[in-house]
Formats: sequence, C-alpha cells, structure tokens
Amino acid sequence: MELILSSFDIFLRWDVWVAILVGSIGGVIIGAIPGVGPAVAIAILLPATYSMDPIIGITVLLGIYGSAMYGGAIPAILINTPGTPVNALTTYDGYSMTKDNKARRAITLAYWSSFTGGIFSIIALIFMTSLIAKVAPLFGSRDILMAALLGLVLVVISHRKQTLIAGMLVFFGMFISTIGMESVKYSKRFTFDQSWLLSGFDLITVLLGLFAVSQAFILLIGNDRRVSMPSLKGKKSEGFFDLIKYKTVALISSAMGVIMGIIPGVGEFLAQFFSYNIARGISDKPERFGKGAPEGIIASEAANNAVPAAAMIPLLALGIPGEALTAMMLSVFYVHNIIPGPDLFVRHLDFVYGLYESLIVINIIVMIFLLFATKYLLKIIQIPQRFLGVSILGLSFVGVYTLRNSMIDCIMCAVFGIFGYALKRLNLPIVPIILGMVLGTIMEQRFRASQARIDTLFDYINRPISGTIFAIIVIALLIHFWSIWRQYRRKTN
Amino acid sequence: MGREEYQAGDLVFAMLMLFIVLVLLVSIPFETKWFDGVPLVKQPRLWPTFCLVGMALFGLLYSIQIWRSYKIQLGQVQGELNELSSWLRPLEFVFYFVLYVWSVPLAGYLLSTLLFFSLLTIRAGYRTLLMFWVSLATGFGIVIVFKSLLQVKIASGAIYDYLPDGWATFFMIYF
Repeated sequence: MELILSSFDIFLRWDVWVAILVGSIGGVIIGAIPGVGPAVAIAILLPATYSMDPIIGITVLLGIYGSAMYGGAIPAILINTPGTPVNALTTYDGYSMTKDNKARRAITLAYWSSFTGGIFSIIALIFMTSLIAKVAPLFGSRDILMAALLGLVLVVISHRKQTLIAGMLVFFGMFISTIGMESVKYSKRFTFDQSWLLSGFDLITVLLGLFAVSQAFILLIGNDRRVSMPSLKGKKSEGFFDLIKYKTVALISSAMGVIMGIIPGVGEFLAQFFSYNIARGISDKPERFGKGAPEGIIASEAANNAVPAAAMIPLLALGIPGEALTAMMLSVFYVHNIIPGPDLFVRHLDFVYGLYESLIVINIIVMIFLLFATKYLLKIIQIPQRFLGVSILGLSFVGVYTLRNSMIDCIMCAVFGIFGYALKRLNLPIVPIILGMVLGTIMEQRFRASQARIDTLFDYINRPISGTIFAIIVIALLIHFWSIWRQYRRKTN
Repeated sequence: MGREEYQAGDLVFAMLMLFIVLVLLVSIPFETKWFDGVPLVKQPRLWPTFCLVGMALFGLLYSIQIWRSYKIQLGQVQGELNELSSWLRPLEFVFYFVLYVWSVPLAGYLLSTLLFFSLLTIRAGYRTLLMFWVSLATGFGIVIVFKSLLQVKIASGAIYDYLPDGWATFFMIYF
C-alpha cells in the first residue's frame, strides 16, 4: 500500500502530465483516423522517446496504446470503417444503430464500455501485482523459453485459416533476428560480406517498414474515400444507462479481455470474438446481434480495451511481449536500461505502480475528452487518405533516420515497406514477423543459458512452471488440430 | 482474422518465399560458422538453421495448400503477374523517400521536409492552393515538434554553413 501511495509522486511532475495528455489525446485522434492506427504511431514515435525519461517515454506510448481503441470506435460506428483493426466487430452493431438514428447512443455506449474494460483491467492488474511479484522470480531460463514458445505457438494458431503462412512468417522473423554478428563466438551469420549487415536488422527499422511505410504506400496508391458524417443527436447519458442495464456483459467482456491479454500471442481479436459470442449466448434476444444490439458494442469495446493493461503482465513480469505493440514498448525499456522480467517486480515495483496509475489517469482523461470533443474529432476522420500517406511517409523518416542517421537504415525500411505492402495486399498477417523477431531473440538467449542444466530433452519441461506451460502448449495444439479435423469432417459430410 | 479463399498473388508470393528460403538454406555452410569441439547446442549455426528449416517446412505446406486450390487457367496466371507488378508500384515512392533522406544532410531538415511534403502532396493529386499550404504547414509542424522541441538526432544541413555564424548555429540546433 505504501508503495502504491509513494508511486503517486510521479504525478507531481509537469512532464508526466504533458506525456499523459499527449499520449491519451494523441492516441484517440490517431485511433479515429482510419488507416493510421496505434502500431503506425508508436513505431514512428518510438525513437523520439529514447531521449526522454523512461516513465515519460513509456507513458506517451502507453497513452497511445491505451486510448487508440476509444477513438477507433468512432468511424466504426459512424461510417462503418473501423479506426483500428480491432474495432472491426464494433461496426456490426454500431453502424446498425447509426442507421437507426442512434449514433450518439452507440458512440457513448462504446466510450463507456471501453472505459469499463480499461479500468477493470488496471484494477485486476493492481490486485495481481503482489501475486506476480511472488511468481515472476520463480521463472528461470527454461520457463521463459517455454513461455516464449507458448507465445509463438499461440500467435500462429490464433491466425485461423492462415496458420501455415503465419508459421512461415514467425520463422522468417526468427531468422531475421539471427542475421549479423552473434554474441557468443562473435561469428558472422548471413551477412554476405556486407559490413552494414554486421549489426543485423534493427527492430525499429523492420517495424517502421512493415507497419508505417507499407501503410503509407497503401494510402498513397489508393483512392480517397468520400464520407458523409451522420449527425449526432440525443443525450450523452444514453450510452451510460445502456451500460448499467447490461453490466453483466460489460464485466464478463472485461474479464475476457484481461484473460486474453495476459496470454502472449492472443490479444484483442480473440478477446472480442469470445466476448461477443458469450454476450450473444447469454442475451434474451440473440437475434438482435449484428443488427444494433447494445450488448454487441459493449462486448467488443470492453474486451478490446481491457487487453492493453493485461498485455503488460507478460511484458513486465517475464519480458515477453504478447503482440506487436508491447514488442515495440519492450525496446523502450531496453534503451532505458530497465529490463522487463522477474527482477523488475523486485527492484522497480514503484515504477510498475507508476505505470498502472498513469494508465488509470489516461483512461479518465480520454473519457472526459471524448464526451466533450467528439464533434471535433469527426473532422479528423475526413482527412484525405493520400495526404495521410504523405504525412506517414514523412514521419517514418523521423522514426528511422534518428536511429543512426543512416541512409542504409532508410533503404532497409523502404524494402520492408514494400514487403509489408505486398503482405497487406494479400491480407496476410504482419504481427508474426515482429513476434518472431522479438521472441526468437529471447528464445535463442534462453536456450543457450539453460544448457548448463540440460542433459536430456525432458529437462526442459521437468520444472513445475516449464512443465505447466508445455502442457498448455500441447493442449492448445490439440484443440487447434481437433477444430481443423472437425471442420474437415463437416466439409466432407 | 483469416481468409479461406484464394487470392491473386498467393501462389507467386509462396513461390518467391520458398525460393528465398532454399537459397538461404544452401548458403548455410558459407554464411555461418561451425566450431570444432563445441557442442551442437552452442554452435552459432544451429539457430538460423532451425529457423530456416521451420520456414521451409511451413512454406512448403503453404505452397501445397495454395497449389491445391489453384486451378491453372490463363486468367489466373495473368492475375498472378498483375499482382506481382502491383507490388512494385511503391518503388516510385521509395525513390522520393530515398531522395528525401539524401537531401537532408545537404539542404537541412526544414527545407527538405517542406519540399518533400509539398511536392509529394502535388504528386498525390492535390493541386489546390489550400492543400499546398496545408502540406507546408504539416511539414513545418513536424520539424518543429521533432527537431526543435524533442531535439531528435537528425544531421544538420551543409547549406547552413553558408549562413552567418549566429544563424548557422540556430538553424543547426533547431531546424
């Protein structure tokens, strides 16, 4: 308790407040613009945060991460175009409500649902911290190796119908992370005698290419959409009363978001799909789902906004990012010499609590901002797409050039941009590459570190934690293969 | 989250990736080292080989999956080639981007950014005076935020050397 109170001291600093405001309001604006999204924004801002105080840099990025989905619901509800990919499910019921002249009600319901999900997950996080602080130091190299493997397996099998290509891209990401000078024998790996490849591929360069530059190409080559905004009529309190009416759905969806957020490699998509199905299952009128059911909006928005805080658990406790955005944040921690992992909860618990408190304040500020500024945000949604492409390309330069002032980095970033552009055109996933890169590095390090205690393969899983995680991996794979088999049987019959 | 149907470009993408993996697999003996007397698990060659074998395995299965759903017809082959050529369309913007990067250490961040934003906005099809000014304002805003306020590390322009001493220092620090 004393630690929680002492960590409030960070709010006595003006720069923390500036970071919170910039991150939260900036995140909402970025989320509200279809085609940008938090991944692009965080990738661009990442190098700029390196020169900041750790808590400031991470707060800005957390603000964007935690608030973008609030903003993403606005175009999802009003123009049937999700602001961020994870708002896609909100379009089902949100846009239907807009067509029924209930746009204001749908939007405020989305805000309150997101707020509930956000606050619920932070409270869960605070209550779980003492448990995490006890459990995290028990994780050894073999346990972290297994946890990273779990993340990779889950990210592959969670891409249903694209499992094979997701698997290939995960291994591609892992391979990229091996290029350059390795740190044990100091030998070159796949450098093809090119000096610029000695230091390997920087994560930021790859991230910016795959997420930001590729998106700029998509926007620049595509056409501008003409959108007509529906008017917002009704009271701001309507959505709040809907939330009170369906509080059970909100709580179940938030809990689902927390559970899915904690599991590495799963994230917002599965959280909201599970929540949506549960909400439909317990509803008196399941036939309304997809046609303007308030519970549908609550389920998707509460679940997806509960994920960011929960996703911080594997990142902070084990140093294992569960998805692309936390993978980006991991690099900020490393730059500031704060190594996420079991040690963080022992030595820097005040820092961890400071992050949680910042997340609460971010959610409150976003909620207040949105209740009063939505009508101004509608103008931002109408920014021409190709001009957005120009801006993202210009901003990407800042992101990649500031790393080393290197032309080679910029060219590599552009090459990854073209690769990302091809992947996006083919509707193939990008996240497995990033997680492969980050988790692949962790796995190689932990694999080598654990060798001193390994005689047989069984030694990898004979510890309680690594054994449990291995059992989860096996169960997840069995469920996956069973569902494929069931699908195959259904098709053939 | 996924898609079930075949899309033009799937096959050519799978084949390209498989080709790259095979080239990399063949390069393993030349691009990684094997140290005598060092156990297998500590060999620097082990991990990239593991990654490439995994990539090849999944790539092969993916290619078979695509091949099975791919009925060879003239229209589809054309579609594959059209998609392949469309992946090269961003090269034009890559050229502008590289030109921009090249110009920064010469013309300075401010001037290069203003030129990049205004010219690319025109290239993107916005030919009105309003959009011209909007592009300049956006470029200027980005320079102010990142270089002047956040002081990110961007090389100063050689052009600033021609300014009077006080101005040169000012521009080098803030623009």
